[in-house]
Amino acid sequence: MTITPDMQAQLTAPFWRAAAQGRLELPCCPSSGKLVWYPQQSCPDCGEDLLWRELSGRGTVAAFTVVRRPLFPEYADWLPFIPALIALEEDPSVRLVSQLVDCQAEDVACDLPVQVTFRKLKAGSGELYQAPLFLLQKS
Amino acid sequence: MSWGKSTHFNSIRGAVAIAGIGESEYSGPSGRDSKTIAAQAIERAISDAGLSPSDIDGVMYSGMMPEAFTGEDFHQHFGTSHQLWESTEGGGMVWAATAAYQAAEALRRGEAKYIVNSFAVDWATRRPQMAGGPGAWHASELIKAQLEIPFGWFPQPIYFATFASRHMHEYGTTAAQLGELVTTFRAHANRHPDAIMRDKELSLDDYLARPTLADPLRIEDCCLISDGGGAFIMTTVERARDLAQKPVIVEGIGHGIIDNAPYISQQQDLSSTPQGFAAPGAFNMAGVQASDIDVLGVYDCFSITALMQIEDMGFCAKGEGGAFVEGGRLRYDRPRASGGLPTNTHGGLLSHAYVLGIAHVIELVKQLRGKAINQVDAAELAAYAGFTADESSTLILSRG
Ligand SMILES: [Zn+2]
Repeated sequence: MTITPDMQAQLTAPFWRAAAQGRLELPCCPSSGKLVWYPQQSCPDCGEDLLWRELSGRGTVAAFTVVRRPLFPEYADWLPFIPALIALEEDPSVRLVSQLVDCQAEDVACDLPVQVTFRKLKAGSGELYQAPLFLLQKS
Repeated sequence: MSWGKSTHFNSIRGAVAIAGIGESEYSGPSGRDSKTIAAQAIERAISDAGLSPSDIDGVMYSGMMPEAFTGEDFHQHFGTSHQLWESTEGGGMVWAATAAYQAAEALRRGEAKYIVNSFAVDWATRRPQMAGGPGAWHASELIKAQLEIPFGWFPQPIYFATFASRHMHEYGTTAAQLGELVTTFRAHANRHPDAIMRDKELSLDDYLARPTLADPLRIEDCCLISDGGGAFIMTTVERARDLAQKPVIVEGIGHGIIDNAPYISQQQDLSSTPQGFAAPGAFNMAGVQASDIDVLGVYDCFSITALMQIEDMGFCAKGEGGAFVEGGRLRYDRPRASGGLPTNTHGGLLSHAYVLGIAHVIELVKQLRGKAINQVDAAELAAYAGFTADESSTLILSRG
């Protein structure tokens, strides 16, 4: 299995195209502005086409783990790494699956505030891709 | 805020009995394929019930499993050709509980008299090729492949390590408490001749000294990968009374599912399971409550999923699962009357075999027959908690 975001996948490519340009964008309802996550073909409330909108990149750590062993071979070069579910400032019920970077595992805790940053990732034999990852915000 | 829903069922209380059980050998890589394993379990279940293959006129299995043992496989294996009622709403996981619902309908409509439900896996054998197995579906799903896997949130141990961090944060649950649950199930397996971990003892100190794979989970918090399977035969209570074994009666079933299924990253309450949407319906159908249950089989793909489901079924207050499992409360020899809750008395997915819940149900049937290896004193009422991450189910059984 090769891990590289598919820039042709209609539902999800806008996320990765924005990330490549250093923006965190998620789809929302054009009338209410409500985020629709995960992406769907249209707004589940009103049926309108979704609009991709840039977010602040602020949020909190809903939950996380520190991966210390190669549970999946494509991530072996990343160890240790800290996958996290990020509750987004614009709508904390929306969780972005991401990673925390530039921090020590022992400094991470649930509910800490975080800020997006953009880093290049390469998983195993896959291609390089720029992804929205998160930094712990200095208090 | 509600973050999931309960499935509505008409009552099937007393409409189905489990009249026969059968298990394959449980093992690591064995070279057997899942259909061979299922066939062995089904043969043994038919024989346990005192039936013959030509009596079986209903076959249930999981439509999600490409290698499941179907009606066609049944005829091929047993050399039969009679009319078979067939349902893909069976198998293990949540369906080990809800299969009874489809069975009740088929029995009521006269479409079948003796229905066998089976589930088997050969994932230990097939693991080196990564063909099938627990991670395969997740990797093939578009949203997970595009928006979760590129960040390293994969495979399943990572999901539940993440959930465990939230449970620990909200409720103060500790590694030692997860270890209490793990070592209790291991102690059950150590006394159980069929358990894969029979010869591997594990003390709480041993557990705590082990490294974490994904904080806070150790390898001991994660299910085995096994070859094995089981089968059970369902019929009406009246017919069951004429067969070889004392019937075990289905008293209630329940099922719950999260909003945003199947995406558990979006589950609103990360320190709970959809078992909270499944158990109330099952208890209600059975006319009992959690405190009436003598023995529990809880889907323990990870220690934390077992602990959360124990809370979500109401055996203790939400968040108090960690303290609840301390002091050996889940041991088989701590019956309810002395403040215990005998749980996974065969060793569970963590220490018996990873056969996705079918062996949990079979163990509960043995308990209610009074024939379990780790027999719970005076076990009259049992509950199975099934789980597939975004769904949970509940099955209440009584001694007939
Ligand atoms: Zn809308």
